[in-house]
Amino acid sequence: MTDEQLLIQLKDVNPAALETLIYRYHAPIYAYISRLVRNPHIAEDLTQECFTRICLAVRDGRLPVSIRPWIYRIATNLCKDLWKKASHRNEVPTDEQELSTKPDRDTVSSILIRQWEREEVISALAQLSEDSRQIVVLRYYQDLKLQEISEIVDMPLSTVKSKLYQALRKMARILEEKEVARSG
Amino acid sequence: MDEKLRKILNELADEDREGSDDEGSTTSQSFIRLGELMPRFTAPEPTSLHTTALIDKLLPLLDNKHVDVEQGVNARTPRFAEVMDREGRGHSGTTVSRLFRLMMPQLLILSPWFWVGSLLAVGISLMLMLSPQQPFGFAGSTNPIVLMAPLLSLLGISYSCRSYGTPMFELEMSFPLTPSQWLTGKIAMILCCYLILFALASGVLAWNEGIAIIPFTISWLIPLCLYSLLTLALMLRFGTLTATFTMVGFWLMQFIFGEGMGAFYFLGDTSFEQWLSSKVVGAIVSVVVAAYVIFRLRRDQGIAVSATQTESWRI
Repeated sequence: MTDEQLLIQLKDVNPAALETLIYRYHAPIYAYISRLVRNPHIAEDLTQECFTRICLAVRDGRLPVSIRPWIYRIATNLCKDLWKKASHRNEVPTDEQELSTKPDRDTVSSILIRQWEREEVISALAQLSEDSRQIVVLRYYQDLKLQEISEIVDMPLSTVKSKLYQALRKMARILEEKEVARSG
Repeated sequence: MDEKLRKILNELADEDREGSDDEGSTTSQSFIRLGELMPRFTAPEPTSLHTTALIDKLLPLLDNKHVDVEQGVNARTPRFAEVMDREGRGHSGTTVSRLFRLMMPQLLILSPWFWVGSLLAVGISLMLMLSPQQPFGFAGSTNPIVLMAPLLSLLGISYSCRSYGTPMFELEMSFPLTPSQWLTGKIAMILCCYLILFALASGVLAWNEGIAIIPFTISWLIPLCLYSLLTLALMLRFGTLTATFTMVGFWLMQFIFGEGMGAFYFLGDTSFEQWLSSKVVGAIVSVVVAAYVIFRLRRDQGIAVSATQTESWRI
């Protein structure tokens, strides 16, 4: 069933359609929010809130033209709301949980190398503006089309393209500098 | 270079040409390195169990027209007992049959030793009453039956409600009955048990000793009701343990000070000078305490007693 077909079913407030929608988008939305907020518990809460809003919108017949950008937009807005809260800004996320969940077959050194590399990416992403970070995550990790991203972040397509390119360049430069600093 | 990143960069080819002049230090080598590292930023994925749980939580929202957006899923999840159809169960039949239905499960929960102990206590009290020589100075203004009735009732209530506020209470609350029904079943069971036992003992005494049964019954009935209600009220307010110790202390105080407490000595029998006034005071206090208990139960009616809320029940 395509998203368009799903949308038709959702207009009839079909519980099976909503179930399908949650099955389809739960994992990607959770991953998206996790990458943006970097806290599994907050990500879980926001994901649930995101789907609650979707559910209530379906119930009240407030449906969009296109599902995917709509869901991501709700998720993005929830993250923005979170960032606006002063309490969240003081939180320092850790990756201890991820470290402890690596498969057993990995060696300690390979886990550590991957973890350092991961932290470098996260650190590079963190140096981007909020908008740019969202765009990079949406395009690279969530595999959304540029047009969809443009709808989600409410920016013209050209601006999205420009910001994405600048963000990738900046990240590449940061990572290169780190590489040079480490080897030099 | 990472295929995904290559594809993205191809999409942004125009940007590449436009931005190639400024900060031209980004080389293809840098993008290759970026392409190598970006996949490292993995994100956890929810399990299918998480997804199913989320669906279970959200689907009811589709039907519930009264849930507003602000509440969302933070709204209290109804207890299992609340969603059970109680119309055909607890609310049918006469009051007596409904009470009987509430009492029956409690009958099974109480240990056989409780029944044996109660029977023994009443039996010993009766034997002491029938004994020609009254031991422990019972020959004064009280007797073993009047002393034992309130003590047994308070201990019985404390014992039957011992799960109140514990995880076991949570489990009991998962059955289709409200906290007040739960309490009513237990209290009714205990009171019925002791009323029958002491009434039988009174009957035996009246038949054997020729005592006036009504004043004698009032002598033990009022303290029994008073102590039961006070225990219940204290239990609702402060918890089972506090209520038990307080009431046992109160009973000991009454026993020690005896007639010296005047109209507030509730354990006196018909030979007590202020018997009538003490029973009237006892009856009035019982009515007031009963009103408090009913008020308390009505106020807490329907409250979901979750693990975190148990604290508010003061146990």
